[in-house]
Amino acid sequence: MRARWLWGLVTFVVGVAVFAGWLALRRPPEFVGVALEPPLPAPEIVLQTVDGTTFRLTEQRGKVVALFFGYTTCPDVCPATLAELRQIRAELGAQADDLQVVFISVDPQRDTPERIQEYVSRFDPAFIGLTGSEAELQPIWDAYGVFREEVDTGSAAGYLVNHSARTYLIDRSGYLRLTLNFGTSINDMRHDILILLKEKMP
Amino acid sequence: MKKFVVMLLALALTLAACQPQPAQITVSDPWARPAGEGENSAAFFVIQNGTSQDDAVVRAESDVAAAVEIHLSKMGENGAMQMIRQDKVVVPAGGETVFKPGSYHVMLIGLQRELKEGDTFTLTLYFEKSDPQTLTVPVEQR
Repeated sequence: MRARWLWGLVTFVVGVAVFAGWLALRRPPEFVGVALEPPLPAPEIVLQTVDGTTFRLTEQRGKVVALFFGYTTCPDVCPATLAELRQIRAELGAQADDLQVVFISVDPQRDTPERIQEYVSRFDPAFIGLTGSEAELQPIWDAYGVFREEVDTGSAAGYLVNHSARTYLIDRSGYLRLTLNFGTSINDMRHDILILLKEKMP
Repeated sequence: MKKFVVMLLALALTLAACQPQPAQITVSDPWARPAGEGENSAAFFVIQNGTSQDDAVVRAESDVAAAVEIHLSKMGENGAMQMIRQDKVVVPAGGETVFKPGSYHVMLIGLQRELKEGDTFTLTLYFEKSDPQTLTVPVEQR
């Protein structure tokens, strides 16, 4: 009698464990960042690079893209994000080329293609810095929901640009999958980037 | 015997607690980001206030930049990051204030020379009450 009761319990516990394991396996890994459900094809970005070639976001397919909007006069928030992406990319070793960091200006008045590329190259020569005219950039800011606002604070740095400081993560198939808010820890950023890097092209 | 050990321990702990803190402002772990000539950079550090009065950083100076300002990066209500110039940054009595990325920083505007990793420059912090302190700031990728 007692043995049968025990067997019942053992069967039940094993059953629950197997079911939980199956659930965990079939559920996709969860992002720490803000996931887009459902993911959307990332709006196209076409801008001239400093060396005169045309950058097209759709041509980055096959790589994971980390996209950030900022400006070169920015001494703190933009460098903080670029420095974290530099470190994550450095840790990837042989897989580093599968992560493309793209930095787009919110300050076309001051950021020239030379200046913005030099700015991002200081963190990692593989980073791409892009700018354009306001007319070229406005539709891109709009498509990504980038808020920007020039404010004159009387700083010797001239006007400052308040700007949304999310990092957008685009998967290998060109889908915008999630955004990371400014202040997300480097461990959480790495966690989410690694999930996307593990995915294969469909 | 046991009582004696306990008493000795209590005495040691009391003495340790009474160890006078140096009544002064100390600035530690300074660093700044690399940036090109004419560009802007930022310097960061930790300020500890060992005195019994609140104090505040009111100004910073360095000959490495055309202008030096104290700013606070913070998230605005609209979700955008903004930098707000600070007239002073308080360091509470017996406490500390950390200048770090995404928060308080000393903005180095219009660098007179390129700051490369491994370079150093001097930065002087002026306080409301305490004497100014001159730091040697290393340029680091962090």
